[in-house]
Amino acid sequence: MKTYLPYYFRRIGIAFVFVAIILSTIANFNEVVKGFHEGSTRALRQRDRTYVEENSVNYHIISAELKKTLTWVSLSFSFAGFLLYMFSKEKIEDEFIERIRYMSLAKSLLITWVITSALLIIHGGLELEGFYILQFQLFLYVVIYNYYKKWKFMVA
Amino acid sequence: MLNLIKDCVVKNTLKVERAKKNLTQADLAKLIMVSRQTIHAIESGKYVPSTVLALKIAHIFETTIEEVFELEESDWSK
Repeated sequence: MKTYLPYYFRRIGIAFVFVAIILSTIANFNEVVKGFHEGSTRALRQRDRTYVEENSVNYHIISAELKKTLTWVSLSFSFAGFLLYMFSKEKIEDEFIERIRYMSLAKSLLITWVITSALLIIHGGLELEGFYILQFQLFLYVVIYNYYKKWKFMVA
Repeated sequence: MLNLIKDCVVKNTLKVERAKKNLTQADLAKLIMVSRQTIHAIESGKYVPSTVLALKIAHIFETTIEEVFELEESDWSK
């Protein structure tokens, strides 16, 4: 697998993924607030059965439009980050590293297919968008590649 | 397909040859322009090098490929 980018693009890719995680968290902040509030209300009711919520909480801190934009931007950063990581060179590029890349690519593809197929068979009505499947495969590639490079074939 | 790295088990005397030449893994890696990880993987039998790499290794040790790498009986059945 050809790699075109210098080594430091790997760090840029990782930074992009972190940005994607932060943006994704912000985009889903409404759900975070809702979940926290529902959980705390349930806990308070368990302690005191007569507990009544005084004021209703506004769960819509992030508007639907902003959420959609942030999700799209987060996905873009995530894709860009993983692709930059995938196509950036190692400090020393040799045939062994190339073999590890090919193996990681093949395994990540296979595992993604297996999991996606299993999910669709188990839950026929599940709507899996292509973007998320691709993102999962890219993430899996990074995990498997690093497993091979840093753990399985680690230098003693 | 998923085990491209270790289809065959090829014995090698890399460690012995390195000791004869007083080379560390890092030294040998630098001479043939690969990573130290590659040398370690070859020595531990986890990776079978390409013909080009095997020729380079033999050249560094001033010997033939057959002196460094040896096919095992089990390789003939694959």
